[in-house]
Amino acid sequence: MTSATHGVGHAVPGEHGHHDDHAHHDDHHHGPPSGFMRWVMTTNHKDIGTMYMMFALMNFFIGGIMAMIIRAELFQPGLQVVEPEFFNQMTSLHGLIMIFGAIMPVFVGFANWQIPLMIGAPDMAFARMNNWSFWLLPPATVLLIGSLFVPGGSLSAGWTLYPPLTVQQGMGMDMVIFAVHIMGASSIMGSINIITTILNMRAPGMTLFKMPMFCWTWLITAFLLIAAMPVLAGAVTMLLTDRHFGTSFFNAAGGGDPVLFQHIFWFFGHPEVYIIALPAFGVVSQVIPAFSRKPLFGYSSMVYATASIAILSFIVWAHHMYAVGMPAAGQLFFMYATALIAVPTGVKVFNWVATMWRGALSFETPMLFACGFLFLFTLGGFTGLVLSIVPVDIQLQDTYYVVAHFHYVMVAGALFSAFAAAYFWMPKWTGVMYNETLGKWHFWLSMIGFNVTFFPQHFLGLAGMPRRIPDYNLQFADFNMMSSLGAFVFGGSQLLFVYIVYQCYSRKGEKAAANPWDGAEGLEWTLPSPPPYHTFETAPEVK
Amino acid sequence: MSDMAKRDLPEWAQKRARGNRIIALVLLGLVVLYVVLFVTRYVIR
Amino acid sequence: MTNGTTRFARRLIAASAAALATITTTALAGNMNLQEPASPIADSVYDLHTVITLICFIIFVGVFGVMFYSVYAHRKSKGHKAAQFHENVRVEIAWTVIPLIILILMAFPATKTVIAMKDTTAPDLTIKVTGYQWKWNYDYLQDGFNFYSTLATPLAQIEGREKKGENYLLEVDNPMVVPMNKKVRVLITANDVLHSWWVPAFSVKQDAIPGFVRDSWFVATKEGTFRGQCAELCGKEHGFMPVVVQVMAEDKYAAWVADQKKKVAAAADDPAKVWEQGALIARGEKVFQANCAACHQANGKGVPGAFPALDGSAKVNGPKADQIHILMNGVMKDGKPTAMVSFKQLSDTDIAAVITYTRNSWGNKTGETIQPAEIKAARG
Repeated sequence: MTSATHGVGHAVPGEHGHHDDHAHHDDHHHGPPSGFMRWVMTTNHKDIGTMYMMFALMNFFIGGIMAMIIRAELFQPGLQVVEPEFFNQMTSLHGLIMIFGAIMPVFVGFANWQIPLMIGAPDMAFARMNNWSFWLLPPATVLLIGSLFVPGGSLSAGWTLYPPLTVQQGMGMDMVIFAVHIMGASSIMGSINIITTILNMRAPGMTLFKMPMFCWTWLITAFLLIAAMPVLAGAVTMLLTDRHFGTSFFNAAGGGDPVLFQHIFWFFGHPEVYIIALPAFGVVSQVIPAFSRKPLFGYSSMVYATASIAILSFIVWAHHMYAVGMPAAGQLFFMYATALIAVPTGVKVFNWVATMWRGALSFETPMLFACGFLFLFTLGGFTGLVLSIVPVDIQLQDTYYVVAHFHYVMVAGALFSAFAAAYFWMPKWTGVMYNETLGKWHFWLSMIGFNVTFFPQHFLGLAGMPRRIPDYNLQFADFNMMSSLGAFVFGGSQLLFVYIVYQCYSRKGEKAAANPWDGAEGLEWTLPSPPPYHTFETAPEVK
Repeated sequence: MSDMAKRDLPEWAQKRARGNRIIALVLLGLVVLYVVLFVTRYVIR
Repeated sequence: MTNGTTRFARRLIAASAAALATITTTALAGNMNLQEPASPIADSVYDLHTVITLICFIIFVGVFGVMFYSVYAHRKSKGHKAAQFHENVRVEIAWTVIPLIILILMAFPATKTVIAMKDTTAPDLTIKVTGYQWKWNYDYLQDGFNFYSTLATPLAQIEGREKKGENYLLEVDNPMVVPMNKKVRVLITANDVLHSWWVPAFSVKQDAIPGFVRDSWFVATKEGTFRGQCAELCGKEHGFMPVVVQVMAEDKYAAWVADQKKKVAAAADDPAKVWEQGALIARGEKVFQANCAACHQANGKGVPGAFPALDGSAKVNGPKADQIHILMNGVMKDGKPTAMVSFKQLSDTDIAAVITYTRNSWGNKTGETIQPAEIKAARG
């Protein structure tokens, strides 16, 4: 493996698209059918990718409105906007919708579009199952949102679903359980698809260690999904039977233990956050080298670091449970294991910085978001390290410090990475350059809005403000008001992103070249923008 | 009208179909194993 | 400077100014760190947090100093040409091993504190803490008395009709009282769902798990009142069940204990007493506000779809045996418990009073008076 091809496959020029033997297939379609049924029946990875992304964008706003309601209530002390019970429904659904409806589907959308293009495959290994993976999601979302309108309202026990409180909840909870099952099935099928595609459908010559990092991170993430989602399914099924079928898994009176749920849930829950983070890392590993005009530093280390993070993610779950009363030995084990994850994560951060070092940097919108990610995700990582230390966590668990931590890694981390991916690849998908000025505005408004929203929350947590409360003592008033103002700015700025996306998808912008980015490398950039409906019908030659 | 399914896959991809099936069955088997383990651990006492 | 650079520099300055303004105003607002420690463990935790945050801050500044320098100096628009290096095994090993060493060093003081926090042996006194929806009960096991600790902030303040007090949402009718400089072991459990008992000044947080008892401990080294909150979502009033601990000098504490024992004896209402309706209704209104109004509302109209109205209710206006049964046993639906739990822990007098109150308030005019003796009989 020479340094020139390390991590990147180059197609032989002239071989792209479907300008090849038409003698062979006289009855195949040259383009997509038209109308609504195109989208319902499509098995094309590009169409399915687009649907995932649009679906995610819609849920981003639904979850976002819930966040605005939350921050409106928390704007001042006192109960002004909503009742406490409804407030709890908002916090619970905001979490579920953002995680399962927005951030996970958007990265699956990127996977669908990009993985076949990056490895030179004509489509995903199981194109029809791919369709079903997507179409399971809208009904699940209808269940989630619909649960707000049934008697008793929706889940109000937090997205973490702890019993015994969730056993007390009304029928909205059952709709949530059903939705979780459906989304889990979608993810598992999608993961089988991704693993099979990456392992078996790479173009000849594209060895695993020539694959782009985005494909590596998705390969590893797909294994995490298969290992974690069934556990969640088990946990919510046990909740269902405790609620309706007389079991007492989580009821002490029947011989069970509420803490058992926490173990099972977090055994899923911790790998889940890496399921969200790893594809985000993959995107950043594509964007930073492109805009540094320099190869990714330490490609193999990055692969091993990602794999280490994935494996370690299975032995740290009880750091979400330090205060349940587990023995010191348990607390210590999980503290050491959790701190250990900082090592491969740090390796990745250093490698990204080293990629930028002495590159030829330019700061178009994708790079702005990637750098924002680097800076803010790392900050979130540090607060995670603080939280991993048991005695400190005892003070901070269930406070706004935790809320700040996970929003830094999930929003300034995963979401910013998703924005970077969108700006980076939209010219390819749509054939239109997005408006760079507007993109920069979106970045800076998001950057400032996000930090004003969440940085003060660290202080709120340190000062003693718990999570999941609709009202608070006066000592917390100033930071809460600041946080809410930031949230309104941050939320509002996302409308700009919708406009930018709308412009691209309705062809209102400059035409994009096959490779609009000076330093981007990879098979996808050898294709026209937008690429033909079917690509790599002939396997590209990979050097 | 199902797209990929009805079209002939490009030949080089067609050769991969058997490998795809094997990988998918192994992974599905893992998921099934999970369910079996769950049931034996928590349901059958 | 090119146009792009000026714009970029201006943006960077604007962002930094915003950040600086944020930090300054927050510093002025106070409350940027953990609360002032009032126990030796809280002290250790405070210091541990300071050290770790400092280490993180130094590494952060180091790494991003490098990145920001790169952002400034290695820009294409400045004419910088990209180097092409892309791996270095020695450097990878270095930035794997050095962070590992830093983490191991952090682990030592952290481990010591973990072990210390778990050592509940040889306490001077033991108090059982039970979390309820939505209040705490403190049971002084050795002294034979217990009491509920409920939020004391008036509804008028929460609804904005009155100005909020300094201890808004952090005040209770009966705080836990402990002696200074004595090791207090707390046994923590719950009655219904998960709660969590937390006092930041002592750095004590322990989840309250129904059906299980877990313990923790603290030594309060300062006199005064220390306030915390429930730290595990437990339903709609999760934000409204504060934890208040009053620390007294040893002699004052002894006096308080003696006083409590006397009060308990005196307050044990004679269930044989026959009450006059007006007094019983007045007593019942207080009981209603403390125990019922959160769900059934002060006006008795409940919350449609969630909590039934009592005003005009068939149960409240019908045979009193039915209503007594509900208060003693709670309401089951399809064989499962609902949010209307049993209130049999209230005294005979309190239950009789609140039933009498509901039957003679709002639109309900039964004219009935239920005496404590009837409740005592219903207990069987």
